[in-house]
Amino acid sequence: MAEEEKEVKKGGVSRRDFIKGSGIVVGGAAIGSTVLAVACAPAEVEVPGPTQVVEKTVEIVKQVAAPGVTTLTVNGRSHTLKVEPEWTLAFVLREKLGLVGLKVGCDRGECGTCNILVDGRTSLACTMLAVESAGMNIVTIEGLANGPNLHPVQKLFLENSTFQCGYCTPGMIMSAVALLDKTSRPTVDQVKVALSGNLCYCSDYNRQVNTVLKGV
Amino acid sequence: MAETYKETFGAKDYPYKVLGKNKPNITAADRVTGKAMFDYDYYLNGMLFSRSVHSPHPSAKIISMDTSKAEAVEGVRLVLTPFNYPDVFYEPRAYFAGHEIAAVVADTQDIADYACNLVEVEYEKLPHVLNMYDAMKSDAAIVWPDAEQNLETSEAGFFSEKTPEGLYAKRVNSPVQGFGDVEQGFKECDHIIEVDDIRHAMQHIPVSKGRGIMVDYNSSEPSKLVTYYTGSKGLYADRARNAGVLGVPLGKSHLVSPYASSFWGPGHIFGGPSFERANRIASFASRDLGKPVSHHYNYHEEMQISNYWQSLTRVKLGFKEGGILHAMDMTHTTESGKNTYTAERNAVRAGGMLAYNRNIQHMKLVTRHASAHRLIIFSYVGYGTMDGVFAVEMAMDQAAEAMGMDPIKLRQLNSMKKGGFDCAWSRPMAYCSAEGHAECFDAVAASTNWASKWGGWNAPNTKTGVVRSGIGAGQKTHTGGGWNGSAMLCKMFPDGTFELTSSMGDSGQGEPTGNLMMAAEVLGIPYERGSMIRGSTGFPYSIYLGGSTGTWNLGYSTWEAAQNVRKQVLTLGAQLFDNATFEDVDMDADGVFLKTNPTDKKTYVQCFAKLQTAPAFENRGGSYEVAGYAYRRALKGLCVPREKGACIWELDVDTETGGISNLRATTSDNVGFAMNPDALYNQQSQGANHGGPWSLWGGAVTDPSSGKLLSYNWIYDYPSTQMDITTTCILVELAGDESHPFGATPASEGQPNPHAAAISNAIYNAIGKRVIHTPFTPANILKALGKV
Repeated sequence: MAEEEKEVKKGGVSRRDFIKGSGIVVGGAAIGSTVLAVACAPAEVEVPGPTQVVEKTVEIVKQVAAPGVTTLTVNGRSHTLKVEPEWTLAFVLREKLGLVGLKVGCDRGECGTCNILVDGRTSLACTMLAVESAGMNIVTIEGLANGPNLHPVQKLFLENSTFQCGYCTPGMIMSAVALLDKTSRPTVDQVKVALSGNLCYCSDYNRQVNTVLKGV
Repeated sequence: MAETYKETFGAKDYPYKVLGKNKPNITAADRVTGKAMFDYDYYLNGMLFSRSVHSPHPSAKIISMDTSKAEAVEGVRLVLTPFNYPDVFYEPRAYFAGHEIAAVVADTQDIADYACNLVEVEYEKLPHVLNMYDAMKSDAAIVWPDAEQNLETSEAGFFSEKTPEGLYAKRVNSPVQGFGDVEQGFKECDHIIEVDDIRHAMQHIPVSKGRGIMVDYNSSEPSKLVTYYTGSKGLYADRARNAGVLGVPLGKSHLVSPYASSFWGPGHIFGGPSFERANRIASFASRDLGKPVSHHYNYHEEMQISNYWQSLTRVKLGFKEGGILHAMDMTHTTESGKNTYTAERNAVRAGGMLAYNRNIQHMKLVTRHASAHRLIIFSYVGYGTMDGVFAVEMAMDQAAEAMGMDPIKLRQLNSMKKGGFDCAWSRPMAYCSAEGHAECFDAVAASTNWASKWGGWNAPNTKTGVVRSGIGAGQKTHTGGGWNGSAMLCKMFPDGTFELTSSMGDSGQGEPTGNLMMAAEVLGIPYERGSMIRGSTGFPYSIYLGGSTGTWNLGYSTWEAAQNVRKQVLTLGAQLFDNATFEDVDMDADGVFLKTNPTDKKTYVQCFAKLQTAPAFENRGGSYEVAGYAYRRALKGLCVPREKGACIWELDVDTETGGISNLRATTSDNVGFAMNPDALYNQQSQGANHGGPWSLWGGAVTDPSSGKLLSYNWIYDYPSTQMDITTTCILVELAGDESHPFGATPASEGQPNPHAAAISNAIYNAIGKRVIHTPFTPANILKALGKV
């Protein structure tokens, strides 16, 4: 045990964990997707290291191996429910937990409509498996407000009518929250980059940028 | 990139307390918290899900279907085919690749999708034609079995000769529409320009919203047989169409649509034939299974049915010396689905007859529609009338060049005038009640420094280097602003609050907010005390309402309903003063008072208590209401304001790659009175971000053998993002529609119209080559440059 811990602390991937992860298709797929995320992420974005990848893979394997019961922490509440391994997080949040404030657009990771926060980072709920998110802190648009008090970013969007039809708004607000959590006074370019993954067909992009620029 | 740059051109100091100021959208809280319920968000107990089987062939007879494997799947409840449900599918035929030819209803969408793949279909493939240009050839396969050719000419006349009084009041149905003697008119001209083979492809790239419908047929509740949950902005019209499918009485059917997503594609918020099939599937399945049935399109289906929409135009313009437009001859052909014959007419109306009605004396218009085995079921792909405006604005630029005139000056000289003939989209004949193109052009020209950047017609020859900058202009005109009426119920309560009720849907363009602002203005009560109930056919009638047209149209009834309430409240309050009538008193946030003594104020509780005649109840005014209802048409003197504006695009063209970059749009509108300026800026920004990308990047890739869409993604079908276009929005506030209570005019639906033309004109200014086919892809630019 001590030897294994040393291996991990050195920043490498332990041989046993590697075998555990790569020996199972689901785990392998998860590694692949994480690596892809690392490759695509901007330089300043914090990405999980190899150790975290393995730990994550192990967790997924455990979840998949379990008899379909998963515990999800959503908006501060714990939900234990039966989850099929192929169910996306978007599906479970909307159809099993009734959180229909989370909108689904393309259902294939292109439009950003289903953005949520997973452990404080924006994630596309339509391309994330529900079992993959067990143990993580999931926040949807319904979880931003503190009772009757709107989240500051929601207030910004409300006061500036920063939406038209509103279908992409929850996902866009989540992107803005993630940005403003890191940078309370972002630059124009930072805002544009942060929101560029949120396609808005009503397209009043001016207002969206200027709203977020006001900061919180 | 997108940056805010706002300016108001010629704004007036209006005396209003509420109107003219930016107010947060009244639906803001729902939209920023995720509580806004779109049709796809409704879940009912026992609800079932329907999905469709699609034809892979563009034209085929369906010989047989074997549904046994699909029906054997656990969770499948029903399989609908043309053979067991002819009322759903009409006939066992496929008219385009992707056509819905069967449907599976199951416990979940996944099961339905899976079972759809198990439906075995035997086809007899038939000859087909995959685009409207080929469809117009004499040897083309005929799309419709009952037709002799694919090209039809519209005969719904909308113009005639003048009456002896000088009015265009006659309407004659004819394949050739217009007035005057065009042949003679051209003989009288000094300059004639003719541009043919102008091709426009409008592609409304969808951001998927799960479009569809849920039908809840409940035979055990005979007082309300059917409830429809959908996204609509014309709830009564959609209910009528939906209820007609099953023959359900209107009084026993109900349609709910509190929020409509912003998808103006085929048949969603504006209804339409394509949507009818979803409705039919869900309606029959719900009736026969006794369960709510949801039929919503998936991403692939939405992309397929949002595929581009083509048009072909010839424009001939005749000018007198000095640039006076004297004669116009235009033939406009659109690819138009069966049951949809309005698009091509709107296009020529907006682009030609309406936009340039100032001087023209002779006009001939022919509008046609051509069918191909492609998307035969749409009503509109995108909104506005870009295709017609594109053609005319390209011709206007070429005419300006031929005459050596500034293209903006030429447009200003001939643009729509107040009192000029209208496009007569509605009956009877109408006249334009507002103008303002010239001022809108002045505004965008000043903002962009046009005078120094345009550089004259020789400018392209002076530009060198690989990347060359260009600037181009286009006129924005649209037929928006019809006068069909809508109804509003206004209520006021003793605590000084008020409420509006209307069936109107809402896609967030600000029409509920605008109407609430108008009511607050009339009542003299703070806007924040108002609320609005809407989104159901349980509420008063409204037509299809969208954007500022909705505010403009419904505003008449809102104004009158609020005036009605105001008069009743003042009448009640006057009873509290000696010898006073309603004309002697006024009202504000706190109550009713004598105009001669505003400090002696009676509360609304006191006023409302006068509704109760029994003295013992005089202090119980708190439980009453005063209500006013109005159904009012905008019609006054047969005037319609229509939409009018201008735009300028600036861009860079890479002459080696054909790429276009550094896109900057400056757009203006005469909005009459900007009741809620932010809502209008929103519309302008949206128009630039739609009209530009539709013409720049609408590059759908289809299978050449079947027409099936291959580019199911936003890489080929690219919508604009935060990073693409810098937009500058300018509101021009000139005299609006004098018939409107607040002088508002529409400025919404036509927002995309001028951008394709302005971009094409900017490309010409950059490289000296006319590109009259959209989209302006690198390949098309290089082709124009002679490099491919």
